[in-house]
Amino acid sequence: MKRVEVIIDNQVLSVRQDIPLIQALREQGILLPSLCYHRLLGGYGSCGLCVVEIYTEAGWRPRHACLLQPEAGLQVKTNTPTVLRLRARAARLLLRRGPFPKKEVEELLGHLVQKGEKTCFEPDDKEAAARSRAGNPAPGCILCGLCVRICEKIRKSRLTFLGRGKNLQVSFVSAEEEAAACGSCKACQRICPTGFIEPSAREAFKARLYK
Amino acid sequence: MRVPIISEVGGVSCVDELWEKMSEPGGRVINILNQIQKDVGFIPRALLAEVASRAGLAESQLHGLVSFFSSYRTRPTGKHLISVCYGTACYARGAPLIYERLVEELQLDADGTSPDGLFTVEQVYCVGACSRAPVIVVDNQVMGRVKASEVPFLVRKLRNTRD
Ligand code: SF4
Ligand code: FES
Ligand code: FES
Repeated sequence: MKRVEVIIDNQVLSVRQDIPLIQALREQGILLPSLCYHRLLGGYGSCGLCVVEIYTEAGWRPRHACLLQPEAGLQVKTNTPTVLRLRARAARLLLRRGPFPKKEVEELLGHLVQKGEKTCFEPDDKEAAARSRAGNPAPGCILCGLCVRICEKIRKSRLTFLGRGKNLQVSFVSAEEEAAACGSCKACQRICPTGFIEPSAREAFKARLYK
Repeated sequence: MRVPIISEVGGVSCVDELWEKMSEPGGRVINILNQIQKDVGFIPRALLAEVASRAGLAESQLHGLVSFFSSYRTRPTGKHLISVCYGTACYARGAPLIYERLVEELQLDADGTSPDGLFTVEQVYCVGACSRAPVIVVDNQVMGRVKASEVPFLVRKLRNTRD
């Protein structure tokens, strides 16, 4: 297991190189907020909460820590005003997809919103937020894809994303031999960060390609 | 006239046959779906499931794929297909008025098909005749400078054509 030296918030740390930065930092006790990352499924870059700044040729630039592979000499900042502002922005967008059955999620997001300083470019658009909440066919799902990915990983593959853009939804695809196909493992239910999948995938996901 | 490759819905053999005909492996699935859509008019679930198993993919993956492209249909269309262009030029020149008039006149369901199964109405993006905006395409025939007030007459004409 190869390790490399990186600089995190001005401190030199030795971290594993074969896993995404978010996980390497976790193993050193540095916990970045995240909703769409799972160590078995790898980085996905959908929630936007794990953002950090890294030093590049062009100066400090924001990156998703779940999509970043540690390499020797990598310089990372996890707490700058830019980072906090971007996290707050991501959190505000995610909150529009609520309310969430798991109260911890509401709390985490609310907390991140508070920590980020708002700039004049980001008015807290209450109307837009209300509109997108009202038009959301699946309130409580943040479309993190963890359920789809775990279902595929365990080779059952009964879940998929349907549509695109603002019509994107998770869908459940039934199989002929239902008993063998879905309902017993509950892997999606356990991995869902928001508690959306209740009582089962079949019932929680309403979207279907074939009605 | 070209003879459709798929003449009946649901036979294992037709997907197998198509599979051998489509040469490039990378584009096979998409090409076969295009062919099915062309010949059957929509993609029946039974055929989609067969394409999936032939390609060694999960059926759910193909549900995702099909849902991504708005040109794929998953239900049969009505006898007449009316496409209302929602491209920028047509939109600006009143496409929504035409569309709403059609919805009202034909009492379309969520899939855009009328209860009598005669009409399907869809929105499409720039059919390439912007100078004649607003444009609708009725059974593959382009009609330009359409007025919403003409909609009832068009519907009546189509209803009365028997073939
Ligand atoms: S149901 Fe849960 S795990 Fe699945 S995409 Fe939505 S939030 Fe993520
Ligand atoms: S954990 Fe990186 S974007 Fe969600
Ligand atoms: S916008 Fe309708 S034809 Fe181009």
